[in-house]
Amino acid sequence: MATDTKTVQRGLLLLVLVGIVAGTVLVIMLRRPGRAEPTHATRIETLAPFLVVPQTGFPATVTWASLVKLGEALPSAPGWEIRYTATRVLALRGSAKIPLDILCEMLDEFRQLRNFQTKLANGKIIADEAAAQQEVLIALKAVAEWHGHADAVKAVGPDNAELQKVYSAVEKLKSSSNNVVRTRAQETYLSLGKR
Amino acid sequence: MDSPTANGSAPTEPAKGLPPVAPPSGRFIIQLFLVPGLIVAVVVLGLLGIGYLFGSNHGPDHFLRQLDSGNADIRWRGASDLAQDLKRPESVALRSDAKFALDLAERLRSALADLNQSEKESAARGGKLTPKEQAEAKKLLSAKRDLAQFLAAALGDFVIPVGVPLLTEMALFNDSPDLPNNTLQRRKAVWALGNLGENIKGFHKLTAEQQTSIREFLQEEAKTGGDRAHWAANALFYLEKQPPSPVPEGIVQVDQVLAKCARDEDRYLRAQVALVLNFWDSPLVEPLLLELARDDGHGTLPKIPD
Repeated sequence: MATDTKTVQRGLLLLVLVGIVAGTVLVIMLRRPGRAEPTHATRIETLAPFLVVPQTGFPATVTWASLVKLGEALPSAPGWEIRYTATRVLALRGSAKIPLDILCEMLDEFRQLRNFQTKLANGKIIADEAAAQQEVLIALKAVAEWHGHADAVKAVGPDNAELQKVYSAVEKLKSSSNNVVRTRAQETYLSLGKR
Repeated sequence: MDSPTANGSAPTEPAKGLPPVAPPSGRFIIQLFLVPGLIVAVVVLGLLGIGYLFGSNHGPDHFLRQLDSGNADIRWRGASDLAQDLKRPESVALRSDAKFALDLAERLRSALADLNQSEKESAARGGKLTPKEQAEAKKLLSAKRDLAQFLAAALGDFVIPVGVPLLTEMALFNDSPDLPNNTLQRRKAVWALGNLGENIKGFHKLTAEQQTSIREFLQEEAKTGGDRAHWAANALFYLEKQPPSPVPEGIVQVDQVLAKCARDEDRYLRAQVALVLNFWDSPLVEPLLLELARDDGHGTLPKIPD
């Protein structure tokens, strides 16, 4: 009789364990994938109070260091989709007049995270990481394509300061936390004839 | 027959009234699976045969008949089939059928005229209609708009650019009382122009005989006068690898139209133009792209209602 009770207890215990495992699996399977807020995101409103120093006169009224930081935390100015598309097409065409500063901006991973934002069902605005990553990948491809037009590179001048910034931006992406971006940046860097 | 069981006792007699239990024979199992399998195979082959004999007539005449049907369901079935067929890589013959392209352009011309007329009438009597009548008018307009947008997109899938005059006209059209839907229509027209610019390259991949035959057909059409002649002349112009300069009279200059769209107030349209410029080469393209690369984001970004 005592053996029977023990068997029943063990059975119940096993049932509970199986239930817990099944529940966990179900929760994992049915859980709607949420988007993690990027950890590096700087809240712009937190920088606003540091911008103006009211006791002093202009230009000292503005704390220029904070202004620079604010610029780093803001998305690109309106119309960036148009500028990026036009720059991409100019890169594909191998234009010697390509705006390298825009290309550099397109390669800025953090800037793209600020440009591509999406609103969640609960009203919270977060970075659309997939879209931002896609933009950076497109920019890398555009750089490689443009660099394939030797005449355009020659016209710009290999030592051009803006072009060097583009190279640096690609090099920076080689240490991106995103595997795909990192790999593509390494490939692009090699295609630029860099080691 | 009556062998003893494992425990040595004699087998019990089966209950009276039940048939004796016997293991299924191989023949029985074959009957069980093979016969239904054969029936299903015959039915499937029959359906495939019928489809092959009667269902594969997806030629231009078939599509035009369906698009001209008074029955909306047949019309949309035809439109759906045509949209899919035009996109298939093996449908080169359909995409390079100049007569079919001109026939579709004629339908787009009528569809646009009908839509514009209906929009103006609807706007004029908008306040006098009951909510039910308004809903019906909106539904009717929506169907007309869908047809025009479908035909525009279809013309963009051809390797023969007969759609250039109509698509450019749609891209610039700004005189509709229904601003949101007209904005959408303009965006779709610009998109179709982009597709067309890319698809024209397909013409130069056709055999020399096919190219000659298409050119001869278009030259004949260009002599006839009227809209078809105008569209054919434009198609002939854009099929040249090096279009003649100066541009002959009556030819719509796509780059000039895109330049106007690139200065439009709609930001989305400007972004589209930046992309579409990749498919239309001319001396104007690079300056336009450089202008768009310095776009200051002016204007609006109209939201299109579902």
